[in-house]
Parts: sequence; structure tokens; C-alpha cells
Amino acid sequence: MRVLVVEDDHRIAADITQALEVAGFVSDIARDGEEAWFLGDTESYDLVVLDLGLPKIDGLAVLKKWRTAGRQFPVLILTARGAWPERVEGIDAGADDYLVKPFQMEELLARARALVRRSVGLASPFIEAGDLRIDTRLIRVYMRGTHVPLTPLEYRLIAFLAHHKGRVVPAGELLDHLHGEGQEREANALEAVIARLRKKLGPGLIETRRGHGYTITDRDPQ
Amino acid sequence: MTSLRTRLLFGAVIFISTALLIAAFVLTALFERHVTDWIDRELEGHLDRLIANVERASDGTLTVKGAPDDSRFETPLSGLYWQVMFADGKIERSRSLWDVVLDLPPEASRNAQSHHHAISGPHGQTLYLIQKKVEMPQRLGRSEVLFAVALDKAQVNSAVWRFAGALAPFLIALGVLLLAATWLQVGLGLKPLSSIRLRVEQIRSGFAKRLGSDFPSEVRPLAQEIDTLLDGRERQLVLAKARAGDLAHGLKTPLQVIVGGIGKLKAAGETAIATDLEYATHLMQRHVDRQLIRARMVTDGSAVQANVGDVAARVVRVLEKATRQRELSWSIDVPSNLCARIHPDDLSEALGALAENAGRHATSAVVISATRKGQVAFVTIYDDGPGIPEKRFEEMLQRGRRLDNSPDGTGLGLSIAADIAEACGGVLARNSERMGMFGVTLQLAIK
Repeated sequence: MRVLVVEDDHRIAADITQALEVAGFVSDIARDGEEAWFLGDTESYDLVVLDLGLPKIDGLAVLKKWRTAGRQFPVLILTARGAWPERVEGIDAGADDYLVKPFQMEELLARARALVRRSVGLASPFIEAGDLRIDTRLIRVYMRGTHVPLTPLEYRLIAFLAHHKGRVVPAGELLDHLHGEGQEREANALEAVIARLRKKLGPGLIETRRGHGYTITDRDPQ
Repeated sequence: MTSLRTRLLFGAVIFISTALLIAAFVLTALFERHVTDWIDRELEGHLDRLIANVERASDGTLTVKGAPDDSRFETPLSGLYWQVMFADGKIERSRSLWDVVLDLPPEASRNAQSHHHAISGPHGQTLYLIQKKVEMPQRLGRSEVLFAVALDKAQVNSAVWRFAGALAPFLIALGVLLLAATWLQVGLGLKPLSSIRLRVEQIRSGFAKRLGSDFPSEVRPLAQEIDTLLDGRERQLVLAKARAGDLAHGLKTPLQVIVGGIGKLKAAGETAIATDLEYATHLMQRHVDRQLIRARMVTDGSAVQANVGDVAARVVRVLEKATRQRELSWSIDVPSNLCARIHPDDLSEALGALAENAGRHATSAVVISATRKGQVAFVTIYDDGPGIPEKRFEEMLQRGRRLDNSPDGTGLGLSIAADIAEACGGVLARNSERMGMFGVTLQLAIK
């Protein structure tokens, strides 16, 4: 899951990205409205955490520009002022949720996970596919009830596929959502991660549709 | 005497009464002079006819042959008399004098000029007397004869009093008319001041923004000064709000950094320090939140009104989207045209704080309902949570005001709503149960 964190204060941005990474997200940081607009418009994100008080272009204006351009990723706005008219304006501009500063990181993570789930139509923090069960709150993966330890990259991949259960996800899209901006995105590396996951979770869980991409379904991997 | 109207009317009463009294005296005096002139001419006429009627009698003495032609000379004590005193001491009198002989003052000069005197007459009458000493012609022996004609002064006075009596009602009517005109004029003159007072009242009650310039030129500068004052006040308010917003941003960003640091301390096992810092930041945050909301309050008695239904819809739209409240059923039962005398931003802060509280405690549903009773709008937020007992409600309100560290922030939300309600002249109260739901009611004045 790839998150864009738009925050001009580098300490807060670092705290957020660190917490998101621990929670199984990969994140990019934008320091001002212009950079945020550019990244949001050109990259694929599963969630944007957007501070409203930004240099160059105001956060609310950036959000409106994204929505006008048809960008549909969920947006969690962060506001220092916390006034209700500002919250209303944020929601009306296309935000999906808001958090008033100062907030606890646990709160931000809970909302981030919920927004990502909601964006793909899932209600529960537990995602199941056949014998696979992912606890998105604890960032744990279970196979037939047994915990299977995964690396962050492996977790992100299986979690992304599980969030899009039943859909064939092209390799390019998978790479976009697994790596942050500027990180290497090689198809071979993706193959290697898929191979490791098949080894840990069983060969039948992740299906390869040649020329199309990868998918997991509710079907019993047997 | 603090009333301008009373002062002006009092002044007018004194001025008009004085003017009318002077007018009464002057008019009466003029009338008296006019009457006296007229009487003088009449008496002079009688005198001339007496002089012309002097003849020599058969015994050789002088006598008045035929009195002047006025019946009053023939009526006893009629008030009109004549008396002639010849050089030999013989006195002839009008019949009207009856048996009284007038004691004529001595007349030294002998010329054509008659002289006026006031003497006492019959029956205590005071007489207005004209007398003239005339040297008779050659044919009448060149003797000196004193002619006198007199009129009862009471008759002159009575004419003057009659005139004054007839004049008085007219003068009183004139006075009343002038006072009415003055009252009307004062009313008209002071009307712009009343309109300013009314317009200021309208500004205070939210019906108008400024006084405007549709006043007479004498009052317009005052209205403009007041408008300038209001402009300045509004600018200061906007500035204060902007500063409050900046203060929020300025304080909350470092607070967020501290919260981040606390998380790191916890991760490093420094839980005791982290807990202390967490308590301190929580308290700071509540102080900042409360003071910011108070600083942001817009309602100040000026031109404001909020449509309760619209504001409730906006608040619910936000809370419905907010993750934690998504599973709840939110409904609004507010008459579409219900407007309260509060700025929409303040109403959304108050409703937002209460609805957020309700959402936090509700099991499955929150209802925002409003009714109107007389000039008060009752806006109630119901939730199907455990509810707050009456005693605890007051306690929580006080705790919120004292900013005690209650874990859920309910007290703060209640105290914020109570502060806003009070600032708008309203009240926050715990409401009775409705279909198993507990409510908190904002009572606000109707626009």
C-alpha cells in the first residue's frame, strides 16, 4: 500500500512515514502544495495524508485540483485549526476523513487502514481469501490459522492483492503500489517476491495470469 | 433634565408663554390707547358744541343753549357729563350730573388746547375729564368760561377688560397651537435620532449591518462615525480571528512534534516520562482548543442568523464520513425554515462538538432534532448511548470548564457548546429521554 504524506514540517512528516512503514505502508513525502499536486497527479497512491496548511498551494486547493482531475484515492486531511467550518469545507472539497492536530499515530494508522479498506469496499480490518487471513491492524498474515512471518515488502504485496481480491492486478500497478518514489521497480524483483510468498504461503494462493498480472481469490488454493 | 425632547418642550413652553403674555399686554395697551383717542375725539366734539352753544340770556348773563346731542347727558349718573363755569361763578351742568357739581381743577392757561384730568365724580366714579378755558368773543363780553366734559373712567376700563377678555381665548388657542406645532417640530427634529437608535438596535439584533447614509445632513456625520467605528470593530474581529488561527497553527504543529516524541519515548521503554508528557500535552491541547474556539466565536450580537437545518446537515455530512462514526445512523429532524440568532460558524462549532460527543457514545443512532417554542429554538442532539445522569451532566460541564483531564473529551465538548450558547444569549441543558435516547439541548433565540 502506497501513501503520499503531504506535510511541510519535516519532523511530523518523518513521524508519520515511520509509523506508516511499520504498519505495512510505503510512503512518499511532499513538502509543499505544488509537489503534492504533481505527485498526486502522476503517481498511484492508495491513500493521501494531506496537511491543509501548506506552502505554495493551500492543501484544500490541492485536494480540489485532484478531485477535478478525477483522482479518486482516499484523502485524510490533517488540520491544525480544527474549526468545524474548515472540516466541512475539507469534506465538501472531497476529503474522506479528517484528523485534528495533535493526534496520536495509532489514531492516524487506524483511520488510514479504514480508508484504504473502504476505498476497495471492505468493511472489516481482517481480510480473508481462502485459507489466508490478514490482520491489517497487527500487520500479521495467517495461513490456516498459523502466523506466517513476512518481510515488509512481502506483506505489502500480499496485502495489496488481498485488498483487490478477485481482480487481476497488472505487474506495473503492483510495482507502483509496493515502492515509494525513486525506489527501483524491476519486474524480476517482483517475480522473486512472488516466488518467496508462494513458498511461505503455498503455491496455489497467488495465481499468475500470463500477460495480465497476478490475482488471489477466495477459491481454495488446493 | 436628561431628555432632549423635555428640554426643548420646556424651553418652548416658557418662550411661548412669555411671548403671549407680552402680546396680551401690548395689545391691551394699544386697544386702551385707541379707545382713549376715540373718547378724546368724542369729548372734544362735545366740548366744541358746548362752546358753540353759549349765548347771552335775556337777563344779560351767558348761558348754554342746548346740550350736545347725546341722550346720556340727559340720563342721571349715566357716566357722561358736562359742566360749564362762567366768569361770574355761575355753573351750568348736564342733567346727568343730577345734583352733583364737579370740582373742576383750576385752569390757569387760556388757550385753544384742552387739558385732561382725572377727578372724582358722582357716586364715587372716577372721571376722565377734558376741560378748556375759553375767552368768549366780543359779542359775549370777552369773559372767560371754563368748559368741561367728563366720562366715567370705569366705562373705558370696562371696554379694555372686555377687549382683554375677548382676546384671552384667542391667545390661549394660539399658545396651544404653537405648543402643538413645537411638539410636532421637536418630534420631527428628533426623529433622525430615534431612527439612529432603531438602526443601532437592528444592528444589535442582527437585522442590519450598518446605519447607512439615509439621514438628514446634520445627523449623517454621526451615523458615518458610528459606521466607521463598526467597520473598525469588524476589521479587528477579522484580525483577531486570523491571529487565533495562526496561533492554533503555531501551537499545534510543535504539539504534534511533542506527541511524536512521546511515541518514540514509549517505544524506547520510557513509559513514565512518556505518560507525564502525554498528560501535559493533553492538557495543553485542551487549553488551546477551548481558547481557540472562544477566540473564533463570531456571534457578537451583530447581524447574524443561521439556518439550523443547513448547519446540522453540514455537521452530519462530516461526521458520516469520519471513520469512527460511519457505522452509526445519523438523522436530522429540523424544520427547513428554522433560523437561530447565531453565526453559522458558531452553530456548527457547538453542534459539531455535541454531535461528535453523541457519535462517540451512541450505540447505533444519533438524531439532531429542533423545534420552535415562541421565540426560542430548541436544538437537541439525541443518541442511543448510555446517557448522562442529571447530576453528572453539571459535573461534566464544570470539569470541561476547568479543563480537567477527562479521557474522552466529553466535558470539553459540552463546555464548548455551553460557552457558545451563552455567548449568543442561549443555554445548554440536558434534555429528557425520547424513545430511549438521551439528548442535550441548545436553546437559542430565534432570528
